[in-house]
Amino acid sequence: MQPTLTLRGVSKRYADHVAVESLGFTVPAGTIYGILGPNGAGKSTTLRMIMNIIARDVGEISLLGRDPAEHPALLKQVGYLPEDRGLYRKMRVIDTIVFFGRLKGLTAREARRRAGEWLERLGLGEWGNATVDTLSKGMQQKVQFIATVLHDPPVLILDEPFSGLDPVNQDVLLDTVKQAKEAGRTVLFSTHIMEQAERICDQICIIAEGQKVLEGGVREVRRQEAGNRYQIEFETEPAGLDSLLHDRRRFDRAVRSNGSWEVDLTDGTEPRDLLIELTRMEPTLLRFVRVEPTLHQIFVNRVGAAATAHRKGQVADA
Amino acid sequence: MRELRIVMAREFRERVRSRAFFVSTLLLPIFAAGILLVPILLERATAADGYRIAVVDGTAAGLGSRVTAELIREAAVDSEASIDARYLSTPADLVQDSLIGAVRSEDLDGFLVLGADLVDGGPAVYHGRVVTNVALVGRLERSVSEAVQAERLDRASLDPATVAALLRATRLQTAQIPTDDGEAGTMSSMALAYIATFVLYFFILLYGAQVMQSVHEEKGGRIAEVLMSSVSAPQLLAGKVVGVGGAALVQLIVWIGFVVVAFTQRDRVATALGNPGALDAVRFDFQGIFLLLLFALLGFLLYASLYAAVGAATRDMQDAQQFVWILVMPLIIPLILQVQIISDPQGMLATVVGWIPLTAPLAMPLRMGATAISAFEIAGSLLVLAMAVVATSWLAGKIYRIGMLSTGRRASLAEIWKWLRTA
Repeated sequence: MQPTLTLRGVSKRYADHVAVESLGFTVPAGTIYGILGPNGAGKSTTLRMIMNIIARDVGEISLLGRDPAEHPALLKQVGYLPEDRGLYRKMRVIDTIVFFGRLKGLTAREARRRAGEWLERLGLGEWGNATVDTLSKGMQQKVQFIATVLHDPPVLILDEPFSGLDPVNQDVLLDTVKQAKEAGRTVLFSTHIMEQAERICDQICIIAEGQKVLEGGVREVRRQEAGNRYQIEFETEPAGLDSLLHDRRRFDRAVRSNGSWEVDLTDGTEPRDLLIELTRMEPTLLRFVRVEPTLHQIFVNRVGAAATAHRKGQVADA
Repeated sequence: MRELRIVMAREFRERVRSRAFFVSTLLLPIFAAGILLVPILLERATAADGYRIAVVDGTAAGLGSRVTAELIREAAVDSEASIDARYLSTPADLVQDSLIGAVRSEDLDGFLVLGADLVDGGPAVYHGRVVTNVALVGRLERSVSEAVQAERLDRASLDPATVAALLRATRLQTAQIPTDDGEAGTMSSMALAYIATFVLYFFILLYGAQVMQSVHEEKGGRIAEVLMSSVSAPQLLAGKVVGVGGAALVQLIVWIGFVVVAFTQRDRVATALGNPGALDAVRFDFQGIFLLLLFALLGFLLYASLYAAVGAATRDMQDAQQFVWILVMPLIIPLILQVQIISDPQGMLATVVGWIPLTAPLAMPLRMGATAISAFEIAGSLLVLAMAVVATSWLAGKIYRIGMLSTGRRASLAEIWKWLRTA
């Protein structure tokens, strides 16, 4: 199946800095794809280049098989949620949603019907006739989201969709994104909050300072990034375990935590052999798993606190 | 085309729905009528009270009684405020203090002292609590002059009635000559042209600023980023300009409606003001109004697209000030040259500003009000204007495309030039 979106060697350079450098990744159809990175990493710049809002300097972008810069009409098949909210402040909520829906090709009646359904679904049923500026930031965010998905586009591109939302509403939106995937849509979104990505993404691409750090399925990435750390747990701790785990030739590190052990195997140690050894002990071994790092840990390890600090002072215009 | 219509409808609806629009559309004519009528009604109210004046006669000829009689007569004839004039033949220096006291205690409004050598060119002095009442001072002056003239004629043994008949003024009437091709003056009332020019100026400034503000909102709020995936920049620009222009047109037509209603009721208005027939001279022609609307419309489109371009190139109103004056300048030129254009509507200057698209929307209505302009010139000016509208829309569309999406920095003129070449 043709991927929904492909970037190859895409760069964007501003007068004083490089926003995105030779970036490439592929978003398979029907998946949720996360672009992760610290503030100012170039996430928004990347999404805006895909949306043809800003022009790329070099590189290829293929959206649904064609270049959006050459075929702007393609973008009608995309629901785009910008990072900063883009709503008319003095306009009524229902009119705002209908306006954007109609621009994407819905009839006024259909747009109105769907807007009503979405407002109910996201708990804004009472607010249709209010003007946008009377809504809280989180509510405005939901209105913007509705305007993005109203025409039920095959592709959703969401720039930091969960920022400014309380945890309950974050969950509501996360569920909505998951449902979009189940309905066969492709979702590309950016975030700097790894827990969200971990919860819904099939694939991720971590970028920092405009460059790709790693890309892949969430499971594979975590597996790849997992080291030789294992968790060991018994019903009750067998005699001799303590001395076994403190064998420096076999373990770099062994820490007891919450009734289980976390150990780092030395390079020469075979997990298989260790497992066999442990199963022979009494009482029964309950757990022997390789500890996979969270995306957060991977992110911090790979991108590094240094890069985040380095970037902090810069204008986050990317 | 569909997108253009949707953008246009939104701009139009949001404006027409706003309270500010409702208030300005309905209240302004009422306010304007108030400005015109209130002083007249106030004047009539004070006039009803009348003035109390003493005439202190220092002339040997007893001219004072003549002046007194003249004052009272004139008040009766012209249905102006009555003057209760008291004649005193006592020498001024004897009564002056008591008269001043009477004025201070408001028993008198003032007193008129006629000097001994009045007939030979000496002064007459009016002492009053208020000496800035132009109407009253004018009437005093007229009465004194007429009395003095009559006395002088007497001394020269001439009959005042005969002299008056001989010196009767001739009224110069004006008649506009139609041009060769039979095109009569298209706007019969000069006053209408004057008002139209100011209204147009006001409209272009006000609604041009609204277009710019709307651009700033879409740009600053990143609405543009969302819109541009569904609408092309020229469509967005055109929809905005036409939508706002539509709202402006509605307002203009409502106002013209008010004027038409006032016009049909002009007999009643004049009678109510105590001056029947005073407004009979006011004429109205619908062809003139149509042409006026056409110039207004094209003028608006021209300036609005320029305003939109400035809005796209800048961040906010404050930022835009550096460019706006460039737009306002050509708009002000016809206003500054108003007198020259009206007094010599076929002259070089008036002709030139009538053909330049940036000045034509204001200059042409003025010229058409002042004289009969040939159909060729009107059509030509409209055509050049329309071509300029197309050109500026194209130009503005280019600036719009890039300007709308670059936020944060202010663009310099050099940068805009670069955009124009690359876009």
